[in-house]
Amino acid sequence: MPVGRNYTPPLEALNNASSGADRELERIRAFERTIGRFVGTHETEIQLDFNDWVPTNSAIDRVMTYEYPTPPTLRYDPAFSEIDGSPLEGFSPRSARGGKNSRHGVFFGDLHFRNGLDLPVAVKPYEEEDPKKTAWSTLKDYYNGLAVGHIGLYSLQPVGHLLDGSKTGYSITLLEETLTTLDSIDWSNYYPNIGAHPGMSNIWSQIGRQAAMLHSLGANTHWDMAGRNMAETAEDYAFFIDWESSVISPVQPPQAEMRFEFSFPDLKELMRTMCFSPYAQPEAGLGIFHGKNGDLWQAFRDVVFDEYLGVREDMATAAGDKAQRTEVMSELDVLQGSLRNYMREKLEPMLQLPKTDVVNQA
Amino acid sequence: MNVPAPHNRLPERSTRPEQDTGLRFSLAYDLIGSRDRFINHPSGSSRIITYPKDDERTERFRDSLIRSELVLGNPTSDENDTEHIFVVPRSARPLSYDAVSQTEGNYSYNDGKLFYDLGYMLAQVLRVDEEPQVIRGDVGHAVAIVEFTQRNERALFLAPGVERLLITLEPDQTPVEYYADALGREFGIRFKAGEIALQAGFAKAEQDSEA
Repeated sequence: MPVGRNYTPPLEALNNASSGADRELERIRAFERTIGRFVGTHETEIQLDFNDWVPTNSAIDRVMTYEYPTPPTLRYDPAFSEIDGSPLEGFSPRSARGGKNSRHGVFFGDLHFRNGLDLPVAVKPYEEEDPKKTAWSTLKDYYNGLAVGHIGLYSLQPVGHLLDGSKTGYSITLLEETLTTLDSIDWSNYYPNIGAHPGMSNIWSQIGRQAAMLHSLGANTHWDMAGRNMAETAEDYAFFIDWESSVISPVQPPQAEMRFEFSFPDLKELMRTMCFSPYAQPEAGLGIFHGKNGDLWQAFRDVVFDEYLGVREDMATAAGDKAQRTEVMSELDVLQGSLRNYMREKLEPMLQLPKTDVVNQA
Repeated sequence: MNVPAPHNRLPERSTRPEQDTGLRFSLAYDLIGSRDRFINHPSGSSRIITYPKDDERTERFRDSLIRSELVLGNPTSDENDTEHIFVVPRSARPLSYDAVSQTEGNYSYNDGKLFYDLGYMLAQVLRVDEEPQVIRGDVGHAVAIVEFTQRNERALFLAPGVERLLITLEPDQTPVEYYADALGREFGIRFKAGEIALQAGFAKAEQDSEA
């Protein structure tokens, strides 16, 4: 049985925080104890089948039937064949500023395998009272991450999952070192002088296009399009991360009403995250529109939504299915009206901003 | 049948020989005249920062800062090059655009730790010459953060070329006053919470230099 090497004595040089429980350190130590109990490292055998309506759920069902509970095991994606079944021996945590608003307490570091391989990873713990629910949530994150890649969207690369039949499970992705989440950026000066910040506008342009592609490619919803779940790299690529709550299916919803059920929650959350303050509790936002006057609905359109609409229309046209295009256009009409109402009736009063001239928006 | 789709990877790196670093991460700074870009090569890509060479005094400051291990990356240019060239970590980014981070924890690099380290580093810059030297312009553009640092690795460094921004501190000002004023303008109310940490960093650096 591999002996877990403990790499986490408290960092005195960094630990000038106020006293109190360090939940992050507790999570890391729990992860190291889990590694110490593990008996195997295996390649995953169960893959996504896109003939299924919701491939992720079918894959999880098969794992729960044929592989769970097994002896404590790290199961890794075949793309990481260099792991080669080598036992996991330890973990070296890394310090970071980004990713700290994660609901699950994601942490970062390097996995050390007995064959000498060191793999930089982000580790997302899941904890539920029922171990089966833990396993389901962990597997959902892992397989959704794979499914997103299969439908052609960029995101972080899933490495594998660790399950041992206990209340805690871990979903692991490859650490992209140049990645930072959008909630690590100070957006307070972006609006209203949008034109003065082309780099920031480029990020939102990409986010708009990625969201449009997601909603165009099937019955897909991210379900948590908050600032903490959008990322940017040093090469200027922006994309979504954290697909744990998502539904990914290549099947096209037949009717506009059904399409709306997939797109509206995402864009509503996107709008909320742009409006709320970074200090808001329990759900912090990016603070782009917080405390700002003006026509915020038009601002939302200018920053991200018009790009979204354009790509949705283009993709519906390119699909070459007239009936489908009609349904998409109908969906987009309802979507615009619903989002405008949400901004006017819910968000602006919460931000305590003066009502903008509704007549001008007609 | 499974759909044979491309694996879930980040976008392919650019195939252009050179690619400017994204604005969120770019350490290029007009006051220095520096550029920040990726050099793409089939064997992999490197991130480099270049800026023109300067007079003898500035070059002396540069050598001193590099000896003190305060500058980000590795200098690779030699005396025949017309520019200074630094190979820098891909994840380095300017302090300027970073949002507030108050998360407490051993592995969370929050604002308290950041301003403490900043104070410690800026105090070392003071001693680069016999007369105390301070950084003019935006400190946020002259300081780089490296994300995902391992144990005992530093997260804060000076951006390459910062020696071109050094000026002698006015005799009627203390360095803490100078930087508190500059950082207050740049970071606003957020800096008020970090001011004590900055002072503590300065104090620790002075204590260490006396020892």
